[in-house]
Amino acid sequence: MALRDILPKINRDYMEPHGGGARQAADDGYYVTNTGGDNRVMIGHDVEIFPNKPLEALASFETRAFEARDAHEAGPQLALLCGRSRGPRITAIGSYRNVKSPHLLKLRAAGVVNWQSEGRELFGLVFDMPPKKRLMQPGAQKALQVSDDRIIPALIEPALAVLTELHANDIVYGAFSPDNIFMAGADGAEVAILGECLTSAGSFRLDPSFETIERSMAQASGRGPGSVKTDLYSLGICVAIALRGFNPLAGKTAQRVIEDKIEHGSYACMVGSERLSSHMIEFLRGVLHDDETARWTLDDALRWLEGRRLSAKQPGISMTAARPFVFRDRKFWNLRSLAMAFAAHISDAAAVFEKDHFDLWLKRNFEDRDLEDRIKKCWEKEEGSLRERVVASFCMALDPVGPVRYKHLSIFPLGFGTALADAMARDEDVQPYAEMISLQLFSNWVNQRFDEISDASMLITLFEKCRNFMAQKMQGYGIERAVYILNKETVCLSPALRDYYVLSPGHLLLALEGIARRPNRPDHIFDRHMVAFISVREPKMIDPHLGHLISQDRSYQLIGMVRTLAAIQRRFQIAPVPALGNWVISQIDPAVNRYHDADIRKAVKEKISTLQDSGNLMAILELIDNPAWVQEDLQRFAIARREYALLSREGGVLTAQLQRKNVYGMGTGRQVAMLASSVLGVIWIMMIVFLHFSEIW
Amino acid sequence: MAASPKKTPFSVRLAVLCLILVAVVFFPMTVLFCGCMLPSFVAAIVDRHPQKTAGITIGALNLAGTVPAWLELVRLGAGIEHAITLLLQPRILLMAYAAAALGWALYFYIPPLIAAMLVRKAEKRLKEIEKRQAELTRKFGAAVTGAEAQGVPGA
Repeated sequence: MALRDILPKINRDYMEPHGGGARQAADDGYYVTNTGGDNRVMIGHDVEIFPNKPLEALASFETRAFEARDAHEAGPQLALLCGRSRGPRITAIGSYRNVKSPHLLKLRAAGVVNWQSEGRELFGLVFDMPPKKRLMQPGAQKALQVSDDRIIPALIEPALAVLTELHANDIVYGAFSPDNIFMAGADGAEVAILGECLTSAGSFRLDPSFETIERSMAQASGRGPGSVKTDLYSLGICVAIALRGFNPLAGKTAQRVIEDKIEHGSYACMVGSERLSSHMIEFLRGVLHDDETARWTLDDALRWLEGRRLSAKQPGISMTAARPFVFRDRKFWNLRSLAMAFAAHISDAAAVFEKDHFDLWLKRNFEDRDLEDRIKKCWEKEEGSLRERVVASFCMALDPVGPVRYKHLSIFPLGFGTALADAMARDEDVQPYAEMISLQLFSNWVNQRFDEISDASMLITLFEKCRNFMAQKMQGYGIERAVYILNKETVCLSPALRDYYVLSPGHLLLALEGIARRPNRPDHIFDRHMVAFISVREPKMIDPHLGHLISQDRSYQLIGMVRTLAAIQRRFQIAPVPALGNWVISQIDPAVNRYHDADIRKAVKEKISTLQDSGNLMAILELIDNPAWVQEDLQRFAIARREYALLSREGGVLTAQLQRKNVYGMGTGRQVAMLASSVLGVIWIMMIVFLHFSEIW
Repeated sequence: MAASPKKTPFSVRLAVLCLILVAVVFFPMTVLFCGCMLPSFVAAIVDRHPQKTAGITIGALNLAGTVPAWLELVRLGAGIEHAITLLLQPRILLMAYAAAALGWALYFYIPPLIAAMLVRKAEKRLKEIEKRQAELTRKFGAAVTGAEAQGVPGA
C-alpha cells in the first residue's frame, strides 16, 4: 500500500507573502490548511496547536510537546511535534487509529505543521491529554509501587488488551517504559493508559534495560521494529519495576546492564530477591525469558491472564567457559560479552585472532559443533580481509543472535533502514553504513541463521538489491536509494529540504515552491536524494525520465526535470506553483537552446516569458519538449547544414580561382576573342563575296 | 621501355593528304594564301596557351583580308604569275596584314576585358555566399558549420 493511501490527512500551511489565500493540493489525501495569515498553527481546520504553551513534562526524547485544542472537544490536548530524525511511524498512524482500547492514548489528529517560530515544518500528532500520574516520572528514582494483587488490573490487563489490539492491527508497540505508562484513577485504584508509540521508530526510545539482551546490544536506531515478544519483555520489565517500586538496573551503564543480564538472566536481574506470588513469578519468568523461542507469546500471556497455569519456564543456560579468556585485562566467561568487547576494541580483537590461543580457548571450553563450523568458515572467508570486517565476522560467529557489529555501528538487518535514515537526518557520516551493505555483512548474518528467520531469503534479496544500487553512481541510485527502499516511511532527507517535512512527491513539489521563494535557493532544483525519493515512492513519475535526468547534456537534464515536476503536478493535482515555475524558467535556457533554429528559440522564449508567475509546469514542458517543433527544427537544421556545406565548397572554389587573378578568366576571354574574330571574319567574307558578285552581274 | 610514338589517326592523315593534293592542284592559290596568311601561321606557331586560340582568332580576320586578293586571282585566271603579281602588290598585302592586325588586337584586348568581368562576378558571388553563411550561422548557431557538436546549438 502506498504511503499516501495510508497517510491520514496531512496538513500544511502555505502562506503567501502578503498573507493571502493558501495553495491547495486537492484530492490526493493531503489537504492544506488556510490559516488566513494569522500565524496560528493548525492541523486541519479544527485542531490548533499553541506554540506559547509548551508542556515540558510530556516532551520526550527529541519530541516537543505543546498544548493543543480541538474545536469539537472539551479540554486541552497534547500535541507532539517530531522532526526528520528518529523515524516517526507515519505509516502506522492509520492502524493506530483503529485501536479502540481506552488504555492507549487516543490519537486525534496528525499532519505536517508549519512551525513558524523556527521557519520549518514538523510532523504533528495530537493526542488526548494524558493523566499527570505516571508509573515513573522521567528522571525519578522511584516508581509508583503497585501491589501484587493490583498489578494485574492496574497494568498487566490493560497492557495486554492494548497489545492484543495492536497485534491485530499489525503494529508492534515498541514503547514500553515506565515514563510512558500513565496512571489514571484515584490513588490505589490506578489503571494504566499506555502512552503513544508513533513519534519515533519502534524501540528507538527505549533504554537498553527495557530491551532483550541481544536487542540492547544494538544501537537504539538499529534495533528494528521488534515483535510482540519484545513488547511482552518490555512489559515484564515495567511490571517488575512497578512491583518493586524502583528500577534495579537504574544508574548502570548499558554495558553493565547487558553483562548482568547475560550473567544472571533478565528475570534474576529485575526481580532479584523480591518475594513475589507464584502467579507473578510465572508471568515474569515467561515474558522475561532470555531465549526468544522459549519466551511467552501473546497467547501465552492471555491464557495466563485467564488463570490457566502454564508450564514453568526455566531460565536459559548460556554457554560459559570453564576457564576465562583474558582480553584487555578483563576476564570473559561467555561468548556474548566477549563479542561485545571485541566489537568495541577492533584493533586489539584483530591482534587476538592472529594468535592461536584464542582458537585453543574456544576448542577447550566450548564443545559446540556449530560454533566450530562458524569460526572455521570465518577463517576461510575472511583471510586477508580488512580487520574491521574480520572482527565483524568473528563477532557474528561468536554471537549469532546479536546485532551486526561493524566499526562503531551495531545494527540488526531489520533496523538498518531506520538507522541509516536517522544518520542521514542528522548529517552523520554514512560511509560505514554503505560499507556494511557492500561487505554483505547482513547477508552473512542472515545466512548464519537462515533456518531460524522466516523471511531470510527476502532479506538477503533486499540487501543484495541495495548493494547493486549502491554500485551505481548515477542520480537516483547509490545509498540515497537504499535508504528509501529500506525505510518505507522516511521523509525525503535531502539537505535542501531540511526545513520541510516531505512525505510524498506531491509534498516535494510544494516544498520546492517554498525553496524557490528564498533568495538563497540552490543552483539545481533536484538533488540525488530527491531523485531517489521520487523514484522509490512514485516510480512512474520519474523512472521514464531518468535517462534524461542523468544525461551529461544540461538541456536533457532540464527536460527530464520539468517532465518529472509536471508529472507530479498532474498526478497530485497540485495547484499552480508560480515560484517554482519561475525558478524553472530561470534555468530553462539550455533546454530552449536545444532548438537549432534561432527563430524558434526566440518564439519559445517569448512564449515562456508569458508563463512567468503562472506556475503551470505542463505549459512550460510543452514549450521545451514539443515533439512536432523538435522534428521540424531538426529538419530545418539538416537542410541548413547541407546548404552551408555546399556554399562552403562553392566559396572555396571561387576563392582559389581568385587567388590566380592574373590568369582567371583569360582562357574564357581568348575563347570569346576567337568567337568574335570568327563571326567578324565570316561577316566580312560574306560582304566581300556579295559585293564582288554584284559588280560582276 | 620507351613509349611508342603516338600514331596519327587515319582521318587526319587522309585530310592532310587531301589538303596537299588540293594545294598541289590549286598551286597559285596556295602561293597567294601562304603569302597573305603568314601572320596567322606565325600566331599559331607562337601561341603557347593550351587552348591554341591565337591561330584561329587572327586567322579568321586574316582570311577575310585575303579573300579580295583570292577573288582577284580567280578573275585574272588563277595562274602562278598572277599570284606572284598580286603578292607583290602592297595594297593586297596591306589589306591581308591589316586584317590580321585587327585579329591580333582582338586577341590581346578581349581576354583581359572578359577576365575582369568574371573576377567581378566571382567576387560578388563570394560576398553573397558569406552573407548567406552568416545568416545560417546566426539562425542555427556554429553547429551548422559542422565544426561543433549538434547538441548545443544555441549555447
